[in-house]
Amino acid sequence: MFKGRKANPVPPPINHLPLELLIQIFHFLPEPRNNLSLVCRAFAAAAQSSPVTCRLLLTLCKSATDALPTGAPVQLTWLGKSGGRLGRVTFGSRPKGLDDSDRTVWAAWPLHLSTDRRFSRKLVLGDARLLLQRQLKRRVIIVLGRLELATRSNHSIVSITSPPDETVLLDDQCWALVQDMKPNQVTIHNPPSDLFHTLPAAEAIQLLDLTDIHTQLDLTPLNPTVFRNLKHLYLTSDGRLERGIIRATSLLPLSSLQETLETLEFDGPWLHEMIDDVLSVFRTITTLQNLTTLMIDFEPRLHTPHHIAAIVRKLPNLRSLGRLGFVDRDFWRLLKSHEGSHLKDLTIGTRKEPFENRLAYHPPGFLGDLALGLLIVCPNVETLTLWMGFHGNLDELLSVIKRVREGGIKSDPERRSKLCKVVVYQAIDVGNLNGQAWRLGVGRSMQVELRTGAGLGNFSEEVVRFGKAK
Amino acid sequence: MPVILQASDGQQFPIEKNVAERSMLLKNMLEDVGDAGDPIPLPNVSGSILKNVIEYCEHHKDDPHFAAEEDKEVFESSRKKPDDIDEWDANFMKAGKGNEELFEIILAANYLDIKPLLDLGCKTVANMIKGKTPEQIREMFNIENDFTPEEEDQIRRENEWAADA
Repeated sequence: MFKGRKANPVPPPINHLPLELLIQIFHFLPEPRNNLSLVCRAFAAAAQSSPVTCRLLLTLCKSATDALPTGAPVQLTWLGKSGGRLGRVTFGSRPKGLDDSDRTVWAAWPLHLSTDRRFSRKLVLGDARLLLQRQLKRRVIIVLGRLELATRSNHSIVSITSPPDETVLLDDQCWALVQDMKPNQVTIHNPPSDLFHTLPAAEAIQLLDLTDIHTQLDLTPLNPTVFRNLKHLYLTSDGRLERGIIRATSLLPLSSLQETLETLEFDGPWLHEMIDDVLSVFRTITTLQNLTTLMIDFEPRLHTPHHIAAIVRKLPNLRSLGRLGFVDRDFWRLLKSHEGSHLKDLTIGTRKEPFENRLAYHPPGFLGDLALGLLIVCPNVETLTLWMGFHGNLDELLSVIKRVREGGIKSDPERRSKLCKVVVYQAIDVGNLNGQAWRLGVGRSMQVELRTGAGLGNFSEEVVRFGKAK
Repeated sequence: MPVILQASDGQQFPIEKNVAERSMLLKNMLEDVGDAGDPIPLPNVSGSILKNVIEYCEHHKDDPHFAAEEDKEVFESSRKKPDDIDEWDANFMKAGKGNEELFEIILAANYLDIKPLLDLGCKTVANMIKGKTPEQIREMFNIENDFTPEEEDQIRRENEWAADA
């Protein structure tokens, strides 16, 4: 009698695991895990039973104001990855300082403080949790991610002839709640400088995001004895200042934060047209010896490569540096071999358009010179971000990638760069690439992402990826 | 004196007491009834799986005991990266183990209350799932789609809040 081969036993499907074990597995998966619900009933039950862990971006504003754009009833809003910042920063935008890979679920909640009830951290977070649970029909674990202070009205137009309403939209009740919440991340919109004198629980703040700056700003009150845990400082302005330019002297007090400050980011044309004395800013920055991340739009033609090179030389703890502009051979030659070996993350190019003809600011050989920089000056750079500003030839970039992968023209294995990730923004001709040449050139040990936009989730943005998967 | 563990198929495994005590179930049992030298029956664990579990416990016998997480730490623990796995552990989970064995190890770790092994098993499965579409997950684990079209529509609607993620 014919006996067929004994079939391999069919493994028990994962959906036969007890519900609590499926929940445990889901626990190790990044949020949001919604697509898991579509696998099968067991997965749907486990996903439904796993709590959504959510960070709250709480925007505070006193009652009887229409400063917040959302109308009643107040609703929690999912802040997904595409909540990128486009144009002016509005209340409840995706918080500044998040890593691109951060997949945490955020919810924004604009809270008007009425005078007829008491507010506390416990009550507010409890209310937010209940609202979110009702909205998502899921159990929610909520933590305060960031407190946003609607200090002044959010203006769409800034003009000298019709200055915006300067009324501070916070009152004693707001301050009492801030004191109780002791937030370690705070966003303040267009802060009046004297606000820093009165900001409660300042000693708890580790991240300060000063955004939508369009009036004079004096950082003198950022006293290190009060802001003693301040590690990350973000200053954002689109450059439309209603009263002239910012005095560099008002930024000098940053030096006093040198013991704690690790991240400093100026977003906007600060070094182009916003500050009266750019060299003082360079001097201030070079005193911040504990900086690990510095982001500011440099322009080598305006500030001379010497000053930019001094930052690489004088800040030994710097790991992440950008945006250097279109630096070329003149810049790289100022630095000795391996003088930038402390840098792991480098950003070249600029997010901002210089105020003169942009073509004049783009040295034709900057991509070729970049290979020299990566091989000789900064051999330990692992992540390279390029803001191409719609300049440059991507074929040339591919040559750079090949050169640094192979260790230069002579293919010296000792000189191979540690580069493993390249992200390009504002690239052109992405649709006409020779895919095979790119796949071969990039190889499998590196990841290259080419974007035609600024990575803000626009539908029109084309994205092409080569090399190893994330 | 070694502790003797007896698997569901009758296989016996003499092991050191400190290896057995990686399991909170065995630790409590040994503390409650003492070590009489009789085999401890483990009716929910087969011999081949118990051998794997013992190999893991022997490698980790000198690790500090895992402290139970407090509720307030749940949030942070949920953000632990699933690829945060020690090299030996990763090789241990890979070595010739198919899905069946992997799930049985998870079940055994849960039954024996060995939290680090349970986490390791769950992380390994989480890594297999990460980034996959529902269809790919079904295919990988041989899962039947047991939804009606109406149920599937309803679930899609309920989860629209994260559609842009």
